[in-house]
Parts: sequence; C-alpha cells; structure tokens
Amino acid sequence: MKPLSRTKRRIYLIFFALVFVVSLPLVILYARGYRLTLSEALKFGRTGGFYIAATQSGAEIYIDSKLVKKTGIFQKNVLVQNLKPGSYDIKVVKDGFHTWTKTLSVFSETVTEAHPFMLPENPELVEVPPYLSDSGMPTSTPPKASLINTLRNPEYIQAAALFSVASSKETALKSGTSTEILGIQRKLSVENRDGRLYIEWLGKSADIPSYFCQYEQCKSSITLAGLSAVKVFDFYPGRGDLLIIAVSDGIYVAEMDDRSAQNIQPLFPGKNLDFRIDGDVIFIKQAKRMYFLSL
Amino acid sequence: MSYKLTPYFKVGRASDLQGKDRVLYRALEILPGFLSWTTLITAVLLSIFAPVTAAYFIIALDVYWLLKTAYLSLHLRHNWKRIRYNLSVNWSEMLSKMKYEHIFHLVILPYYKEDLAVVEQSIRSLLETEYDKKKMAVVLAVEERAGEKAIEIGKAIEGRYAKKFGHFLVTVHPADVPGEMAGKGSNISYAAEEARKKILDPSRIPYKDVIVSAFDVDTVAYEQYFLCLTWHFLTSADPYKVSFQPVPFYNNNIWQAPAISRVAAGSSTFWQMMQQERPEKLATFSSHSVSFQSLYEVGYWQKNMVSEDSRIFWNLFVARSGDYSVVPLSYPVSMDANLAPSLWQTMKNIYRQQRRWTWGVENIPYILFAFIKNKAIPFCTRLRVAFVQMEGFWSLATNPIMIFLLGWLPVILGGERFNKTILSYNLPVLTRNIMIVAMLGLVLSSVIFISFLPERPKERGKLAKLSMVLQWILIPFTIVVFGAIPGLDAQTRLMFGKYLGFWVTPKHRK
Repeated sequence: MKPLSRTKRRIYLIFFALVFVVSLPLVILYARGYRLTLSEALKFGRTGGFYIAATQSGAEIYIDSKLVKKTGIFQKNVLVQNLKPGSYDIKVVKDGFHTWTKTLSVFSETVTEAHPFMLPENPELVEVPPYLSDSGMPTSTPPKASLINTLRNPEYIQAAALFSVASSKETALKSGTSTEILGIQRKLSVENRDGRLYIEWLGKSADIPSYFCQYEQCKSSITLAGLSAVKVFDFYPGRGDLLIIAVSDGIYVAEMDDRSAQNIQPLFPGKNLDFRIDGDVIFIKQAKRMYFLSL
Repeated sequence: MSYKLTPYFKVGRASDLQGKDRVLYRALEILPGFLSWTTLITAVLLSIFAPVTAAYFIIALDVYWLLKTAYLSLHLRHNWKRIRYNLSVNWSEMLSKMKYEHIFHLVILPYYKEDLAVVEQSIRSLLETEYDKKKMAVVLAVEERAGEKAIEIGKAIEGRYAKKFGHFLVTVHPADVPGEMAGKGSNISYAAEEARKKILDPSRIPYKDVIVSAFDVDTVAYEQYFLCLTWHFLTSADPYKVSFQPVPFYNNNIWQAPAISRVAAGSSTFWQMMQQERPEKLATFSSHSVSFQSLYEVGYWQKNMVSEDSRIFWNLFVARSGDYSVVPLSYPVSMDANLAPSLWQTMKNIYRQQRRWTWGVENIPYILFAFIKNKAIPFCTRLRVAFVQMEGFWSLATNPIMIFLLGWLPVILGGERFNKTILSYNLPVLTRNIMIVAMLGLVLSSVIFISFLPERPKERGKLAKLSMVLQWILIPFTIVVFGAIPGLDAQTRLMFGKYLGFWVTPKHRK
C-alpha cells in the first residue's frame, strides 16, 4: 500500500489553507459582534450585547419582555449577544423578591454590563434581646434590678457598641465641614450634601466602573435621585455599587447606576431607624430595640 | 572539500568550534529558545498593550490549530490503514521473487543498567522474527560504567542465545573516553565499529549488504520486521541514500502503565504515524535502521551529543548535500511506555524522557550551520528544511501554551476598555469551543490506539479497556505539561548553554 500521494496531500493542504484564509476573517468578525442580517439586504450588521450578572439563582431575566435566561445555582450570569444597537428594557424577576428593572443601551461591538440586585420582600429580621433569662436564654423581659448588670445579653452589648461609636458623618460634622463624608470604598467617595447623596469616582479614568459610562462617554459623578433627607448611609455589604440608606420612613437599598432610573428597594420600613454594618450583618436599631439582618 | 571531512561535521555544541564558527554556532543555539520566548513574551505584552491584536492572534492560532488537527488526522488515518495493511502482508512472499539472501542484518541493542528480563525479551523477540537467523548478527552493547552486573547480564544472554544467531557479540564501551559524552551514541558507535572488526571483516560481509538496526534495549521487533525492512531496502531507488523508520509502539507494558503514561506514549506514536505520511518532514527517531555502508562513511553516530538517533540522519543529509531521506516503513516496533513504582515517579520520568526527545532541538543549530556552510545543498531544500524544523520546535513549545494557558490573557490583562468589548467576552468561549471541536479528533485517536493494543492480560479487568478510551481527555494536560513545557525547557537550556546530558529512561516492569 502506498503512502498518501503528494497530489492528495497538496489538495488537502490547499483545501485547509483556503478554509483558513476564508474562515479566519469571518470568525474574527463574529467574535467582534458582526452578524449576517437577512432583513433588507443580506449584509453584515454590527451588534452588541448585555452581560447581566444576577445575584440570585432561580431568577428570570427578560429583555424587552422576552425571557432570555433562568438563572441556576452555578450560572447566575448571562451574556446576551446579537442585539442590534438600541435601547432595551431589562427585567429580573423572582418570586418573593423585589423586581429589578432597567433600561439600557446596546452599542455595537460592545457589551453593556448590568448588575441587578434583588432584596427579599419580607427579609428575616431577628431581634437581639437586651437581657438573658435565668437559664441564659436571650429575653426582652428585664430581670430584677439587682441582676440587671449581670444578665445583659452580650450580643446586644456588642451591637449597641456599634451604634455608640460616632459614625464618620458625625466626625465630619464635628470637624466643621458642611459636607458629610461617609468614606471611600473602591475609590468611590459618597458625600451627603444636605440629605442628598453624591457619588464620585476618585480612581484612574481607565478603571472607572461601567455604570459611570454610556459607551465611551463617562462622567465622574452621579447623584442619587429618589431619596432625600438621608440620615445614615453605608455601602451594601459585598457590593461597591449599592448603598444602604436610612431615611425618615425606613431603610432602603439603592443602586448608584443612573444610566436609567435608579432601582431603590425597601429593606425595612419604620420611623427613627438607624443601622450599622458589621461584616456581612446589618444591625438595625429602632428606639431601644435592636435587630440584625443576615444577608 | 566534502562536508563530512570538515572539522564541524560532527560538532556537538558551540564550544567544540573556534573563532567565528563558534560565535555563529552559539547564536544558532540561542535562536530556537529566543524565537519561542519572544513569541510568548510578545503574547503577554500584546495582551496588555494591544489586547485586540492579541485576541486576533489567539483566534488565528485557534483556527490554525483546529485545521492542522484535521489535516494531520487525515494523515493519521491513512497511516493507520497502511500499518494494518503492512501487518497483514506476507513479506516473505513479497520477497520471494527477489534475491535477498545476501542481505545481512546487524542489530545493535545498547543497554545500561536494565534487568536481564528486559534484555532477554528483546533477544527473544528477535528470535521470533521471520528471517534467517544465520543472516543476523546481534550486538549487545553494554556500558563499562554500568558495572560488572551489566556485563554479566551480557555474558549470560550470550551464553543462552549466541548460537541461535549467525553472529553474537557483547561489546563493552569503555567509560570516560575523551571527547565522548556518556550516552547511547558513543555506545552504539563503539559497538558498530567492534562489529565491523569482529564480524563483518572476518566474515567478508560487504558493508553494502548490511542493514543496521539501532534499537533501544526494550525494542521488540514485530514478526516480519526484518523481511519488511529488507523489502524496502531492496526496492529503494538508492538504499544508501535513505534511512528506514519503523513506527514506535509502546505496547510492551501498556496494560501496566498508568493513563498519563499511555497518553504520552500514544501521542508519540501518533506523531510518528503522521510524519510517516509526510516523509519530507521525517528524521530518524529512536529505533531506526540504516545501511552499514552509509553509517561507515560518516563514522557512525555522533558520540558527543544526546540526540544521536536523529543526528545520524542530519549527518547523512548534509554529507550527501541534501540527497538523503527517510523511508517510512509503516511497520511497528514495540517499546516500553514509562512506568515507575509510583505515579509521581512515572510522571517525572515522562517529563525527563520528553525533555530528552525535545532536546532534539540541538539539531537546529547543527542543520542551520551546515546549511550556511554547505552551499552544495540546493537553496530551496535548505530553506524548506530549515523552515519545517524551526516551525516544528517553535509550535511544539509555544502553541499549546498560547492556546491552553494564554488564550485568556487579553481578558485578564487587557484592561476595562477591552473587557467591555464583545470580543473580550467571545475570546475564551471561542477558544474553548474550537478546542472542543478539535478534541473530537481524539475519538479517532482512541479507536486507532485500541486497534493496536496487545491482548488484555487476564488480571486486567474490562474497565482497563474503558480507561484506554477515556484516557484521551488528558490530552490538553499532557500536551502542555509533557509537550510544550519540556520543549521550552530544552530550548531554554540550549539558549543558555546549559547542555543536557543523556538520561536513560528506567525500564521498570511490574
């Protein structure tokens, strides 16, 4: 039996070389977001997409009312490609959670990122009672006056200590400025100017978070609309783009992203509320009662 | 002056030369490592400063890799058919109409500290081959530095088997000969010369009638190897202008070897099978055969370097000014797959063996130097061979690393701006999908691998056969860890002049 003939090998080589030469530009164009469109005339059209990073499994992601993905335990993110440049309504829905909606634009060859957040409609708040019973169980019933110091709940003391420390805003006020500065996280500064929050990017312009930008036009500051008379605020644990805010009628979580109306979801309704964050735990104080919310 | 008479015909490394030649040879030693490292560093720099260009480059490499896999698979498939055909042919019948009784086979089996059982298995396999044993001479080439025990093994084998062959010789290669490197090349060259003096000349056997088979000590020849070889020798247009290359199988201990070792061994077999269909790219590798006349003319194998198996081809190629080639036999010989008492040791041995094989890159400076010096080699031949050899070592060391490790680099290093592009999102997905399609070729690999397996030993369960199929998913790992990295290791050593010594693969049998 003879080896593969030279002619046959040459034909193979020419064939594969041709496939390479023809397919490579097509593959590159495809990777860049070009798609063949059949409407009007057969032509290549430039497309873009969304990258939606949902935080919940079992959530349904809709684009212009069309379901594009139901998130799973391992795959909570979705890349939606082949979208013509334009404006799209995104909605993320899950039973028992607040719905997140956003209107965002798709630009050609570009992926527009969205980072939805969804708070539970009825978050599980656990009260931290101030005392311990004789058997050592936490209780709200005060013990006899003689035992009041020995039967204090250490968790309550710990939580109360968080509230006893003057928050940074108070420090700022005491130092005589008219601006309340909470702090800087991920090179973002958030200032409370007369009850309204202003967010500013302090880092390099190349590293600016995507929600400051529409395509290649980026601004350096964002105003949090929708909530006024902000009393206390902080970054939501684990997220640099969300703020947790106490106003006169409750505690809310709001996104900074103002590419369209900012999503604001209620966390805990009520008056005279204050909160502090310790790690992943949010402590909420109402008068003398203390609660924690585990995320 | 004939090239073989020049002082640089048997150069081992730059330091063997003087003056400008030494500088030139050293520069050529640096070249392969320089090209590979430049490629990898450029890929990293492009990922940082021009991520879009880097992404295009990686996509091009992905597509190229996929098409190359398909292209080579066609060669593999054809060679598979050809080996099966050659194994089914009655070579004795093929030779019956030819005069071949004058053809004499000289088999050289070099060994170091291998066990008696390993040496004996090879001798027995020679006895089982179909060829007049009176027309065969076996030379057991032992190293003096291996010690008394090794020499005793040679004597014991001689006592048992000498009379069964026309001639039998045990040669003891002296240790520490000035100008020699301890290794297979110096040992078999000594053995060949001893055989000339003690067998060929006294028996007046013409050198032109002698075919030398330089085997490894674990090489087991299939039944009709010498008949098949003789047929190819006699039907070659000029048998003194060719070497003969069998396909190395690693079946001796394949049922005992772990999956990782089987995949590394199988990959080596497949590579050789593909090359058998592309003979212009083939150089001799491991066990090979060549006429004694040709060997004698160039003074046998080089004694001062590691890759004597391929270097002998290049010696002959440049000595004959490019008028020399390899005849692919498409007939197997079997050797040992790597096997050590522990998996970790086996993996270390595979790595070292692969590094020794990829140390064949030491032929690049030799070839390029010869191409510069020997103008008698046609210019087109020089250009083609240089490109093929350079591309071979370059792609071996860089392509798997770029595809499997650096394919994600633009996404990691490209910055926010690049990360917002569809291209950035598509790059890893595209690379992954193209690789999955390329991996479909592994189905063919596993079918071929199974078709050549020896019978399953009774002590191995049916699951062992299943693992012979599933093992191929290790390819992305082995191609990087036992392909590209030892390749890059070897090139880097050559680049910095940290020359590799000869490392004998331990032959362990369970």
